[in-house]
Amino acid sequence: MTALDELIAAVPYYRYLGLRADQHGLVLPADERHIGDHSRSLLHGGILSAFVEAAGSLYLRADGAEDAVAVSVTSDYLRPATVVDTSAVIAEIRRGRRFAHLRVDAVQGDERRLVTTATGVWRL
Amino acid sequence: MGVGDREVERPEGSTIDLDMVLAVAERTNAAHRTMGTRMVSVQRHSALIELDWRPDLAEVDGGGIGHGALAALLDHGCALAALMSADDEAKAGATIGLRVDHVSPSRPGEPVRVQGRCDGRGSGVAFATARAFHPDNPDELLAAASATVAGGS
Repeated sequence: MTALDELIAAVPYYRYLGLRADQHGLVLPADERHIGDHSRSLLHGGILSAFVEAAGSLYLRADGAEDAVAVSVTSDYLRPATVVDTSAVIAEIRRGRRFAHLRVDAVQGDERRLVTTATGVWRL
Repeated sequence: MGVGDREVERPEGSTIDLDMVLAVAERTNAAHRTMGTRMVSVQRHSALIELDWRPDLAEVDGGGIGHGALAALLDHGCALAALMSADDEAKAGATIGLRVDHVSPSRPGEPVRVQGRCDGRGSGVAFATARAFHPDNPDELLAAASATVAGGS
């Protein structure tokens, strides 16, 4: 198991989401359990918010901030997210001593189409 | 009036189909159906939902309901409040933005309630906010959210 796999395994809710790590980072696997709009087979926005929060927390924990936790995260749902794998792309906006500001993009498909973008503050 | 197998009071001034609202709250949204989200009550511009504690939804083994599950529950509470306020399924759409603030950790074994409220409509969107709390402790805020939902006046 990679370090990220171990960090995922420590959180029951992350196991529930089915989160896994690939060569790029964190992935929310395609799963019909995460559908919000039943009539159009689209992922629930709240699940995408949970995913971007998890991505930020795991990124910081894998980087030595073992107790990192999301304080406030704002997600913009830019495009409907279909039931395919979703990947997280993380950028540090600023990391201080007590808090880190991150941007997390959720992308889908080979073309890495942006479905959700989020910014937030995590406590280290 | 009865909705499904329980009594949900029709809010005064509302003409919305409560069976439809219940279906949206508990069944047609697969994410909330599989989490076990339940509708408690609805009001003219708000909705109260509840999630029972489950070990697979916890933040740590044996811990309280996880942050991500709370985020999903808060989104749902906001969307349901916007739906009630729209009074018409055709006018209530998807969440287009959501901010979640985490205040206090939730307690193991205890359910969480979310009270969502639609604060206003305009410019083609509805604005809703929601608070998460334990049913026995409504004044202690666990988490809060504000949402922009498509489908305003």
